[in-house]
Amino acid sequence: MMNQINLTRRKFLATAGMAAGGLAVFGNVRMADALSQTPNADMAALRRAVVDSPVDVALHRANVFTGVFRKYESEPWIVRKAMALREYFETVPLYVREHDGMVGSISEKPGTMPVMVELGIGENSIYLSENPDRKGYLKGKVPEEICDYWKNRNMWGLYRAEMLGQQPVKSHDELSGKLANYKLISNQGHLCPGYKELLSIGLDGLRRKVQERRKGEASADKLAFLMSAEHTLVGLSAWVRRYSEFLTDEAKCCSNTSRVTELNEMARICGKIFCSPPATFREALQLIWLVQQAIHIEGHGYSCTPDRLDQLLLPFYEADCKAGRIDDAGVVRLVENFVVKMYDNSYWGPEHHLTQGFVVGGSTPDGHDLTNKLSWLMIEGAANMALPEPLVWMRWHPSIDQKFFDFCLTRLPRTTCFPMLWNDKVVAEGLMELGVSREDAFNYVPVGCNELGIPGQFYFNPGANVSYLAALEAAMTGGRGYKGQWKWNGIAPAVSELKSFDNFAAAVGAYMREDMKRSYNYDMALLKAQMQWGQTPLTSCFFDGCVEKGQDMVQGTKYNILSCGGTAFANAVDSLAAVREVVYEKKMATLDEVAKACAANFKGYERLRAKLQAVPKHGNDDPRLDDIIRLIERLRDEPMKEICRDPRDGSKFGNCHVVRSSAVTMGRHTPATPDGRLAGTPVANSVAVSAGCEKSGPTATLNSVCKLNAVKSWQCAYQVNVRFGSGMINDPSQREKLRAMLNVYFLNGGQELQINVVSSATLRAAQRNPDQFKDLVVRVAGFSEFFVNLTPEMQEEIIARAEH
Amino acid sequence: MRQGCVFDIQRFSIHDGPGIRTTVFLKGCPLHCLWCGNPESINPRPQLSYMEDRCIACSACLNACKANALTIGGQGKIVVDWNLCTQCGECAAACDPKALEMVGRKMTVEDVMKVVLSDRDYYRPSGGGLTLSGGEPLFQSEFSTELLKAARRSDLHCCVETSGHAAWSSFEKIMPQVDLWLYDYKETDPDLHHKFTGRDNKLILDNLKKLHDSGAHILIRCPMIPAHNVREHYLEGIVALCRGMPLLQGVELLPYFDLWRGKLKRFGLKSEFPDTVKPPAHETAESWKAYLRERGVRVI
Repeated sequence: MMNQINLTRRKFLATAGMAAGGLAVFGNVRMADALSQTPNADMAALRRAVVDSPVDVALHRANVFTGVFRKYESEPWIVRKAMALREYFETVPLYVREHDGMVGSISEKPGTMPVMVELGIGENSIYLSENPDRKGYLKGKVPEEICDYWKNRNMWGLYRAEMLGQQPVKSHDELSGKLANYKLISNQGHLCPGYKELLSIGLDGLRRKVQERRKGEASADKLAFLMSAEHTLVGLSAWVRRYSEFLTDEAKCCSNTSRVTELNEMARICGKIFCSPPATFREALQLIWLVQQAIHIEGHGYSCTPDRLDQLLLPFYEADCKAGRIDDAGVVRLVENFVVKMYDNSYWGPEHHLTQGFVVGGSTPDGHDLTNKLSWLMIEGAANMALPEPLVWMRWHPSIDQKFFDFCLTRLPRTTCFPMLWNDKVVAEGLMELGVSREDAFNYVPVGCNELGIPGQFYFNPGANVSYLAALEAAMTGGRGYKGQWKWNGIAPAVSELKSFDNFAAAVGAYMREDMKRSYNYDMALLKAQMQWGQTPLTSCFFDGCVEKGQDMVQGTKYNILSCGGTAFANAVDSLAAVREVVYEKKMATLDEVAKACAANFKGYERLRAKLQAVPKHGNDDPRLDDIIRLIERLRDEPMKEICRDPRDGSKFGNCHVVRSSAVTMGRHTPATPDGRLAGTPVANSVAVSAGCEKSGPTATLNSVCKLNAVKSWQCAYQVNVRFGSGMINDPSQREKLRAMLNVYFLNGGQELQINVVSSATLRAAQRNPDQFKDLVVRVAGFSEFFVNLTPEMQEEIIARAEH
Repeated sequence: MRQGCVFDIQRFSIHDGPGIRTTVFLKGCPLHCLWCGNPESINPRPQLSYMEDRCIACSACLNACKANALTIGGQGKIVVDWNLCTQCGECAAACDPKALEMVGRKMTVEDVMKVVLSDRDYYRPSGGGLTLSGGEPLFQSEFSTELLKAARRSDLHCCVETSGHAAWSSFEKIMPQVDLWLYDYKETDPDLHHKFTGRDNKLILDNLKKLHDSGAHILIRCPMIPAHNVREHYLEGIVALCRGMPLLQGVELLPYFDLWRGKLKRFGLKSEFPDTVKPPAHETAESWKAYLRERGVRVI
């Protein structure tokens, strides 16, 4: 294992044959330049058109779904959904963008988003928990009669009425702002459908499989599911066939001969794959894209990762190369096209895209490197387009091809952050800890912000949350909160009784347990709602065993791992450490004084704040914090094991530490904390370091993160950000040091890492001249965005992260 | 246990020798270079630093100061009278927000190695290790030697960055522990060298010659200070040096930077160095490299 990373510079040079003229030790040949390609001009034009598209609402889905649901009110929900979807596919107006070599869109107009009426009343009222402080916020487009029809009939309304027993609402406005929960904004999110079977038997093969399974089925529920699945597959095929006809017509009206050839080729492909399996790389990619979009139309399906493309598509690529049908430049062009498609229609509220992405590389369960030529070409195509979405992930493992790893690093500056890196060893072992087989665990893919899935076998789903900082506040105020906002009684002893740090920690743990219990019950009720009104028969066809068992994926997939997430880990570590030292060890203040100081946002308590800030902070490799990290893991894992079980099959929960949106949003509503953080300022992201606390350089930060027991306690992912100036990448000898550091980090048990390569000076310049930097992408938290589109406070949060 | 006076330990140091390194900065230097990048490194003893923006106006330091060197200024913030300050460090001990801090701390070899070894996993895969810098590491030559011995016992690659101005006996003691020397060459002309650094360059060049002839691995580092040492005579001096010492690994040019000016106020220091001198443009620095390369110098 060590041999792989213990490359000396000379050995590395000897193997790095692809750099033109070699990689001179002391010279200034830049490997990134030697390899760099420029995007294809037509794809660059397509990209520009997509990026500059205004965002709007598309109503075809809302109209069709409302009509069908109204018409068949007595039918089971799943059947109504399937029939609506089929009608949508059969009637939606089609379009193709100029220069686009691929079809398939989630709506009837370029740059628009459909409204998921049957989930929550749509048009972004589903995003009302976030501040509409960015341009492009959608409002007031859905006709009143549609809103009115759904007010007590969509998943949210039914959940309220039937599960919570609340009174029906008179107007849909009464619901505004309450639709924040994850489970009610999407039937399924954070998923990775499996496409292996699709590529081998095609859409018609899938339809026949469902049809066969349906024969003689006696159970009404199973029959309803299977009929629904069949409806949706028939609809999907019809949609693809309609594209073929549409494109043929487009070709007839086109005067540009090369475009005519392209349109006819696209028509031919759709005319084939609407029923038959694909035979070429392009056919396979087009089919996957159409299914991705169909899944999205069906159930919102945000954070949908399309299987492992570089692995699945390799046989098609190799066959094409052998037959002389395609060359590498042709593949890069198709990848460019694919990533622009992924970005198009990906608007998801003011602070997000749909967080779709794709992953390359990885190893087999026995450690064999699976990086292939497509892995390289896919990274290249995505880098050429430099978009905040799709997210691009690379799976690191001890025997990774170091040339490929280096190549990935050279591509970081183009998007400032892609690819993001995952460690196979830690992720797979973590999943095995939760009962996943070795073979399946090594087939994992990242989904969404930074969660995990396994193609067709397991999709991420939150099941509980725990707020460390609220538990701390409760423990310091006897369950009352700084503003007397809570009435938690009898959960932990009064503040005056907390005589030792152990007492205090136990009190924090008691409130965490209570918080988790409440959150678990809440989430399980939502899961029940999801199981009743959140079926996705089409998507289920791409999850193993659903068709065979005749049940929708909401009833369970091969693995059901719900996850318990915590927030603001670093603030919790730092706060506990600060209380331990200042209150209990050095007795410089009482617990009550610290609580009063936090409640007052440290006004009048400046010295106390300074004392709290002087205590070691997470991220500086300080051994004095090691037991605090263990403490938090224990306080969270013990109740989780006891309280949290998947009600469907009793599966264990996993842990995750991802801030879905951003530390800024959460920090806005969080009072001052005992680590000295002021009220309203950002909290720390996932397990990363608090802003301004990273003082000992990146190795110390990474060492600190490695102290977390990723396999046992963080199976469902965390995320870590580090930021470097571009010199770190552009200078080959510095890049080699970076790569060495990353290899060590992963060997030492780091699970994930996202690197931003952009200097503070560049970010400041972008603030001054947004027009000149409109393509600058930054990694925010679980998502990326054009820097100039971020709110000023989010921009400041990015700049505040330490630059190495 | 022997102690040294350390003013900083920088982890993930990537500009002072090969690979990922930890650089230990030792206090005390026999030279007083006009452009010194670490003005707080010259004085061998711990030294008070005051950062006004951190001051929370709590006045806790006032009582601690026995020399009456502290007064209350605008917005309640502290003002240090550097003429009265005895560098006793009492005020720093009383200062919670660390606005007042002692730079330079007595550390044992063990203390230092504890920090150095926290990154040991990174050294070998990157070809890195430990670098001693300063100040002048040979100014505390016994401590430096002990430190490197300890590093050697942990199998670390060791660099020493030196001005070269030290007794040859100090070199002899530490030499066996050093894998790579980063050796400064600051000026060709002895008189100008004296003017710029407070000493002439005879001892420095003699030591360099002896070190070279002993077979040590040496990289020459040359500060490039506009309107001071930068001129043809200096560049030619570098060329001649390399021709005379064929075993040198190469030459690294260190273009002038002026960030050190910000530090002066923190330590109550003053500088005669003209602020009209600005860091050279990238192209200018490249032209120096080209000049040397054309004459057969291996520039890194």
